[in-house]
Amino acid sequence: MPLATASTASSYISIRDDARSLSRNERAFTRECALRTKALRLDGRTSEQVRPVRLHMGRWDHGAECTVEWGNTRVTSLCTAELVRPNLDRPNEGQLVISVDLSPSASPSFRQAPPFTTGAGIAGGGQGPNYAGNNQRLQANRILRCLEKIVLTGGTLDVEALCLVPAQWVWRFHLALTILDDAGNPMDAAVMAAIASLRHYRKPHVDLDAHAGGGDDSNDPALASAPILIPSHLKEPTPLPLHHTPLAISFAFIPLEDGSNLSTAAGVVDRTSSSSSAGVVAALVDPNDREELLQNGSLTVGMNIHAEVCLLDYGGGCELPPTQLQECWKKAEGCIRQLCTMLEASLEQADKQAQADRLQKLVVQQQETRTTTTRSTTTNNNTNTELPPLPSSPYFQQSDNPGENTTAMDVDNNDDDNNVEQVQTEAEEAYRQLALDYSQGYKATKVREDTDHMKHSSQAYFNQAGKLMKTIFESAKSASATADNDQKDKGKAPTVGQPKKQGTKAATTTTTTNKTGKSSETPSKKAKGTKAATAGQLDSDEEETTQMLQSEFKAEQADPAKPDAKAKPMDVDDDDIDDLAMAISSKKKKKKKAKK
Amino acid sequence: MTSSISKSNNTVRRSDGRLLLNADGSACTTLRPLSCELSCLQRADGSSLWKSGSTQVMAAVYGPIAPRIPSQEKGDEAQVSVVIKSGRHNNANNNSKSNNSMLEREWEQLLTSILTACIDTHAYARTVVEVVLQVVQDDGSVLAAALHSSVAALMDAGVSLTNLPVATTFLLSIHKEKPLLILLDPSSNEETNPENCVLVMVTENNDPKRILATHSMTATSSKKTKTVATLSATTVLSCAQAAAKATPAVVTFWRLAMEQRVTRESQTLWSS
Repeated sequence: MPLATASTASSYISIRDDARSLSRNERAFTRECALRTKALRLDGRTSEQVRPVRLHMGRWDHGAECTVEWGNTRVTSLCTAELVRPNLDRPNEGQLVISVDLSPSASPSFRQAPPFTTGAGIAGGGQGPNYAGNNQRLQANRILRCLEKIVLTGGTLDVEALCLVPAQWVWRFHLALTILDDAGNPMDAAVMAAIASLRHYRKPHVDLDAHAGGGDDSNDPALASAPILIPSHLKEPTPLPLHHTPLAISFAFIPLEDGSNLSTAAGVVDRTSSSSSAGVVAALVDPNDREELLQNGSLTVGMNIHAEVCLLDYGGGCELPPTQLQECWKKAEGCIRQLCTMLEASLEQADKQAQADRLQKLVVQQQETRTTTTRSTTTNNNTNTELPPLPSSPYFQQSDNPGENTTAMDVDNNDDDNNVEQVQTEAEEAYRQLALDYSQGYKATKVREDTDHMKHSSQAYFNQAGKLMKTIFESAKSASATADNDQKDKGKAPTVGQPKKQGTKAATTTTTTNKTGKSSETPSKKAKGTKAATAGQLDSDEEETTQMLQSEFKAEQADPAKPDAKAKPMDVDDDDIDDLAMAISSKKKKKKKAKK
Repeated sequence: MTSSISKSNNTVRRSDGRLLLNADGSACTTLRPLSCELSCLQRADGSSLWKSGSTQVMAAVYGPIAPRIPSQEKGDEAQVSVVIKSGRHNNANNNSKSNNSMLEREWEQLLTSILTACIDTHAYARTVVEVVLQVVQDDGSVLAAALHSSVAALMDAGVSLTNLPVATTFLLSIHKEKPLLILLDPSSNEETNPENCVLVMVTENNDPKRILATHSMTATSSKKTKTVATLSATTVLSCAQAAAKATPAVVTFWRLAMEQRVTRESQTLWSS
């Protein structure tokens, strides 16, 4: 069988894909919850909430990269540029080559295949040992086309501005996107990563008059006057001329009737009297992977912070009333504004970091130019050529440190750098702790950048808190003055169908504070607290699940609570109140003891 | 000359800041700082982000899982399938892409054979263990970082290993005239210097004095004159000894990382 021989040649064996199936129960339940007046989602968000987003950016001489953690979805974008001869029929335009790669690390349903590119790339697809499955191809293609529309035709990057010498040298940009982890909605994450890396990229200065190399160039006319890119330590590179910064937001459409929007045995849908919110189709912002599997249609809106739309990608799949489209538009405006402000903040931070790195590099460069004369590769005096005995070797001298340890790092860092690094690693560690807290729904969270976004979402849950619960919390809170932070973990927004993710919550912060006991705890706990507002789980078993739903709807009418960042709403049945209060106070005591 | 270097305040350093020579003039053998983050990806069964200095490699492990085509199963053993993806090219040059991809295929084969030797394959018959490696940042010693991160991800996924392979990267000068200086864990400036040769030695934890695999690379020189890269047998033996000494360091670090992850999981996942 030809495939078998091909696989032995290339050592890649694709695995069975069990990532795209959804049980009937889960499907029916999720749809039912999504179609309610006030939609409920399995991860605790409302239908208008975006998952927390985190950005990491890096920059070096000839490129910039950005990794976006959108909830649990992780996408990396790499932006590099080179100088090339322009196309003959477009002598004044630069080029942009985008490639989208759905890595097999993202999902078992993705196979190792050449990435999808625009422009002259490897002819991907076709049958062979490495070819993408249908779904993979469609998804990659969709992301690619949307990016193209947003960046090129949407007027973000003006290709005419990329022209260096008309008809001679133009910039060709490569945007390489890799989807590392697919937890739903890689499209939005990919767009954000691409835009962020374009924004973060700095274009080097070019020396047009220099000739590259010596006599070889006379034979090769193409290289005869190749411009040289000036490295960044000589001349500071400049940002790209982007017209605006659009981002994308996607909606998942779940129609009332599975497969069609018409009336079925379930009852006639009265469209004339349906209110705008109780529409025929439920639109969920930023679907996660389960919701993506059961969506019938998907809409992606590309918009900048001024609510100017540059992309509207609706591939069909369900019938959408125009009013619904308008609503989605409005929802998108709000989400995009938040995302744009967050992006700007992250870009600024990353820029500062990159500037600091560049200065350090400059310093190192200067030192190097001073020490080049004294540098030599002489070693110790031993010139013995006989085979060394096993326990010791005259050639290999070990430093005095016991073993090559990570601590044996002989770098002259300032204390400041060390402290900064330490704080950063502590923050990372705290973030990791939080991200791994399965009871919180196992989501990657923003610790620093997204706090505003968090406050908005916590408000929504406060509106649903019962007054009784609030008073109980306040009494429990007043019981312990110092250990107030633990309450955040009690954040229980009513969520449905998470029997697996039970188990507490206050114990986790208890033990973590015991374990880490560092100063950066406090900011991390605060982030934890705000994060807990968005996720949540039940401290009870499934019977009470349905009851909770009811009470949650009744509590809709409750007055919004004061924005108390320390207390969290709890929707537990009356029977559990006493147990819970006791549990809270006992855990507080435990924590107090431990702290002492 | 040697003494003047060691006495002066201007200590000679390698390109990433590590000391080149010790006070007595011998080569300073330090690894770059290591960092390992386990379970960084949600979808994969096991994942790790391994940082060695500025080199970052992310590994994702899926498996043991059935292969898509049932005829590709092996009746009594598990199979290891390794994919290496590097998003980043050190040279913004199109020509280097094809070179890189050939090198990556070579590394994939090497890692497949190393991991097949170290995983308890007979415990997972008829399955595939897929390891996807993403080179996030390339600053030298990528093969070693890839191997270490894949082993960490395998541990995170819970695949049982019979042996822990540790790769040590050596930077050797290929000039016979200059006296030998063996340096560990080169960064990418040092690797791409055409005067140097990089040798990767893989040893295993059970008996670090035995070599599991080796791999050598020379940077392609842009000059017209070719320098043939040859190493003397004593050099290779010295490297083997050095690798034996470096193995426990990495193994200890793995243990640290796993301990942290297990304690963290016990706090968050089973916190009742």
